[in-house]
Amino acid sequence: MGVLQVEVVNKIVNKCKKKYGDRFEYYITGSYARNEPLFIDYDINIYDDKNDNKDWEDLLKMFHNIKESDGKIIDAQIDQNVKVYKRMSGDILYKNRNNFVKRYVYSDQKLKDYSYVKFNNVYGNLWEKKVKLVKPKHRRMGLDKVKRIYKVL
Amino acid sequence: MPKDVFKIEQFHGGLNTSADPRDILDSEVSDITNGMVDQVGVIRSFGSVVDHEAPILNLTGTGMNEVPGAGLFYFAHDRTGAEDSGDSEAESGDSYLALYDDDDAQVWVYSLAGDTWNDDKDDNHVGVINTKGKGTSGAARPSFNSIDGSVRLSTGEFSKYASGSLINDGSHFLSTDTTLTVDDGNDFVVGNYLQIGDEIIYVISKSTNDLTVRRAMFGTKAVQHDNNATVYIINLNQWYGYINSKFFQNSSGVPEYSSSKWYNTLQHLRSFDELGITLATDDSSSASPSASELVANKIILAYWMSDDGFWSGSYWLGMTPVYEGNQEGPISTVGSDPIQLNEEILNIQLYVCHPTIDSGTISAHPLGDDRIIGCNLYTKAFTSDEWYLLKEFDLTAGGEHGWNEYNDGQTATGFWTDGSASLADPASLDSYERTTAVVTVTPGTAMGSGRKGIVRVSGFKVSPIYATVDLNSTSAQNTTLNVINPAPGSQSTFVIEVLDENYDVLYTTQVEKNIADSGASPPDYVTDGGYGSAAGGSS
Repeated sequence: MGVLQVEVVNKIVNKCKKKYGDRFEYYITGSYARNEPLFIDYDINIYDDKNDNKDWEDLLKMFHNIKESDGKIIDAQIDQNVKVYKRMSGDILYKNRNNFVKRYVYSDQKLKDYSYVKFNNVYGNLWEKKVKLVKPKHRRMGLDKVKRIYKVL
Repeated sequence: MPKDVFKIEQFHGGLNTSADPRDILDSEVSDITNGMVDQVGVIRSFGSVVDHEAPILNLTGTGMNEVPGAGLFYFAHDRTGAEDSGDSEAESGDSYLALYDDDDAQVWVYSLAGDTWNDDKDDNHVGVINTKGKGTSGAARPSFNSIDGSVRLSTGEFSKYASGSLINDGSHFLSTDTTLTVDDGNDFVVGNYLQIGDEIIYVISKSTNDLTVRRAMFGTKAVQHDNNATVYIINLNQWYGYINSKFFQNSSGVPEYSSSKWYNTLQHLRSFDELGITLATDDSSSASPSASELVANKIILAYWMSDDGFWSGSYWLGMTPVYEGNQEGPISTVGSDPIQLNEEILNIQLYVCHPTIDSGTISAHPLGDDRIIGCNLYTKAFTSDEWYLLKEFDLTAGGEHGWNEYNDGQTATGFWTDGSASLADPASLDSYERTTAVVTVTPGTAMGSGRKGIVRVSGFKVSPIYATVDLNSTSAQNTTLNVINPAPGSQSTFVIEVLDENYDVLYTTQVEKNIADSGASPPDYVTDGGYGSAAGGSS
């Protein structure tokens, strides 16, 4: 177990846990979880045990426009398939790499589609983001054949 | 002499509670207590007093000594069998009465479903709720409460009382002694808090009349006590409830220890120190904990470091037990020295030592209290007083997060030793050329069944590049990577890292390649950004 030291992220997550109890599960993933020396940001994936989006805007707003103590961006998204992806081996991930998946993000500005990414406004500042399971950049990095890592926060 | 006549009227008209006396007839009463006036000319008491059968008195043949005005309590529970502290009880539900017996400081429990009283588990005279060490004729004023079915019993003794034993040590009980010899060890149990003079002492373990103790609790001072000094006991609140947990389940859900039983223990949520559990660190950079370190009543936090982390300085680790209902005990410091880190990642593995090492099953909870279902890991900087929660460990977890069994034959298992990794020249060495390159990983030893690692290659235009490797195979494993060469350079550096499942680096090496200038421009990709900005975006 690698011990995470993400001070600001942990503070926000603890605040969320106080507000919502055990309803949400919080994972850190992406380049930081992969211990890449030159990671860009802190990718937080959140799972809602109730699968009820009426609180998602408020939850994601708590992470919005906040940076970690090293100045890097905190990118929080709700992904109701996290538990499935966690179990996928590299082979299974590769077979499903072209599947479209939905994630939910917070933005106080209108989000426009670009390239392979499609956005739909759910309500207020909550947006649905539709992307392929493995994005092109990660395919070029070979991550379409490698089991993903999600570290519990 | 003066004379006053008191005339008793007939009241067979019964009770009339009208406020106005003019509405009350001569044959009615306005107030009456425990009285019946239903017959003309007769006032008699309400109901009647008859002998009450108390079968509990006949159970032991010696009777019992209830405490008038205290000690009788009703509670209900989903589980049957509270009256004799049963195991694997049905969930058909039952109602109970608890009655404190001051003769032996134990509690009788009546089962409505079974219509029976008992105060023993398996007839061995260990009370189902036993205010241990209380002794006879304690004149306790017991009180109960019940939350979620579990019962708490306080003896009502908010001060010390004599245990019945004195110090039995002709050489005195010195301030540095940790073994207290008493007249009769039966007066005490593990977990008792004792008071001798002004010092409060905690009982860690017991062997006949020798108590292994922790001195100077709650800020008191360890001092010498004379032979025959009175040993007092304080705070004997009891907890009695049903435990139904499976501990240390593996990925298939098979537990090493199961507990489905009525359970009586001290109500106090004790720290690992107070439970007599040793908390130790172990530098596992090159080997896992050795056989000599694997002893009962011990938790080992094995640690090792990885490069490129954010931990710098000296850090203490701390642990707390987590009890049923997610109630957390006090924190205890792990080990005797802080851990030193220098811009590193701290990796930790938890080992809960069993009483019987190498056994697939155990017969008792290894942490001394069946209510403990987890433990939390904390850290604090060397100079700080503030602890931060790092990790919650669930002792009842199974499946994906199941527990593995470790024994002393596995000290070298799981370590990367004498392995290698290399990167062959790409098929083309021209700059920005789309080509292929073969990376080869050869683990020196098989690292464990099913272990999948990752090889990470940095230095190409798209970087890093990942591929999966089998860490349990000592064969040379070649993987062909689709790459784009970097900018031209005579000594372009490529870093090859072998990572474990957590992306921690097991092995790293680097090579240099001569990348020729092809004259091509670097490829241009659409930004793989986040959700609207140029940066960010999760995997």
